[in-house]
Amino acid sequence: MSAEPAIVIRRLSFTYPDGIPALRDVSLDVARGETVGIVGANGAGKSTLLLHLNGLLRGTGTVRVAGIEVDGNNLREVRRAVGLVFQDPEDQLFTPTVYDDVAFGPLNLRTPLHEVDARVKRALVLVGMAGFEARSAHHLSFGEKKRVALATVLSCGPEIIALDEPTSTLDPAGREGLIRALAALPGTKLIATHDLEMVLDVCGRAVVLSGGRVAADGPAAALLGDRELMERNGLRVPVSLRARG
Amino acid sequence: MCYYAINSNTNPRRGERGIAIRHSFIDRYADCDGPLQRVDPRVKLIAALVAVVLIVTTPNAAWPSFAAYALLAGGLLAVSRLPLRFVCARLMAAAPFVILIAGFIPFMAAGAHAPGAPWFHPSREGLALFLGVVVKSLLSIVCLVILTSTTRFDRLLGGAESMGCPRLVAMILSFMYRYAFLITDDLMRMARAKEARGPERRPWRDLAALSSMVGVLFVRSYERAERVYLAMCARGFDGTVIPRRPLALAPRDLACLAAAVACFAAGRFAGGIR
Repeated sequence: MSAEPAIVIRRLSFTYPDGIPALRDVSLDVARGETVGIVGANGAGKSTLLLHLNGLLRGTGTVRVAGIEVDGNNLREVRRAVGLVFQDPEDQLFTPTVYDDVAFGPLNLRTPLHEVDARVKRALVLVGMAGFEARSAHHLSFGEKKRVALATVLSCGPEIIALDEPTSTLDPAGREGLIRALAALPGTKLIATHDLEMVLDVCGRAVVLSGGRVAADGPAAALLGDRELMERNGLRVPVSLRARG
Repeated sequence: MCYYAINSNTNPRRGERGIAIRHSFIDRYADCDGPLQRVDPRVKLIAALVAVVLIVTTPNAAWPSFAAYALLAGGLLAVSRLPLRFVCARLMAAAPFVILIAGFIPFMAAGAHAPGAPWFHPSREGLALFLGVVVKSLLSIVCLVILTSTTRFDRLLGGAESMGCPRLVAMILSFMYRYAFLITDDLMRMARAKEARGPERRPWRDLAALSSMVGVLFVRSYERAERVYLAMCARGFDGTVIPRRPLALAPRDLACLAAAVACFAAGRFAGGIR
């Protein structure tokens, strides 16, 4: 394994076509195996940052993932290395069955057919959804859809998993199930979220984004417990830290 | 057991009054453990195609053939585990189109006119033709209802694909099937929100609201399409459509196909070779 961090971002800036700057001079390193929570108010640039990791958006500056520089010529390798889980599972589950959705990535990555079955099975077991292969996404609960959406990227065997708001609109049981699944996953994880309690549970480190810039970067408990920092960036100290006082 | 039966308490269905976020699925009985449900989708596709071709090429006055087809369709319905009410509802959905198209036949066909009021002056040949067309259409629709209701939509697409349907077309149809429900949900949610803000009984106002809803739905669907495309690209989609694992055909499936084709062919020539 090379010593290079899993993610290296240098001076990344991106402006949407309507002129709204979403990222400004973002620099970030994420070590291999690290789990990092990206937090920030709405419009802080969290989702935009994740979309840069596997080349769906390309701004100015450099992005390197798993030792590969993200550019237009190596997108297949980049997308094999980075699995992106979208906020709305309805966008990610677009085929008639759970099996087809989970097999979609490996097939596109030209995985041999006999290996696709094994990958699908393994990914569904990892998220606790084994036995749901023949079901249609439309027949699943929202929590189940979220877990299957996670399985759709796990089946590609990515080194890095980037998740956009994984616990949003989940009920407490669904949230707990997803957090358990996330905590058990190996590899490097980057989680963009408003769920600060989840960041405390799952992530050792947090990065606060504000107005497209990195406002703070450090141990999750220390950062999220800093009331002034949180309020300055449109966030609030999580209830569990407030209770600790 | 049917998946539908397990989830009957949560199954979407439109309420008697008001607007609930509910709708039905065309293949809701495809997961029942019935003999027709177990047959390979390609066999059912070919058998349905053969049946429809034989039915529509049957001469109009060949009533023994129609009776034979009806018996066959009845037998298939009996083993399909489809509720009669469900099949009738599907037939009723298609019937207006048949009547609308066939309704002009009695007045346009040449021949002696049947007795009737001055404003109702159909020809005898036209009436016979009309009756033949309606019976053939309904028999064909029953065959297609049995096909689509006893086969999961993804298996139907898989079957069509392995018989030469382009993968891209199958993929577009699968998207349509997947997102039709979401779009219907969106529309019903908007209709419910509109009703919650005060029921509007003036039809032109309802029409104006409906047209704005359709506009909003179009924009939302367009945006969703972009997000879905991003999700596809994120999992390595580069425009090349990768074929799925081919289906395996069992000897039992071939026997079913041979039996179905033989029975419908026998029905076609039940009244003699014409």
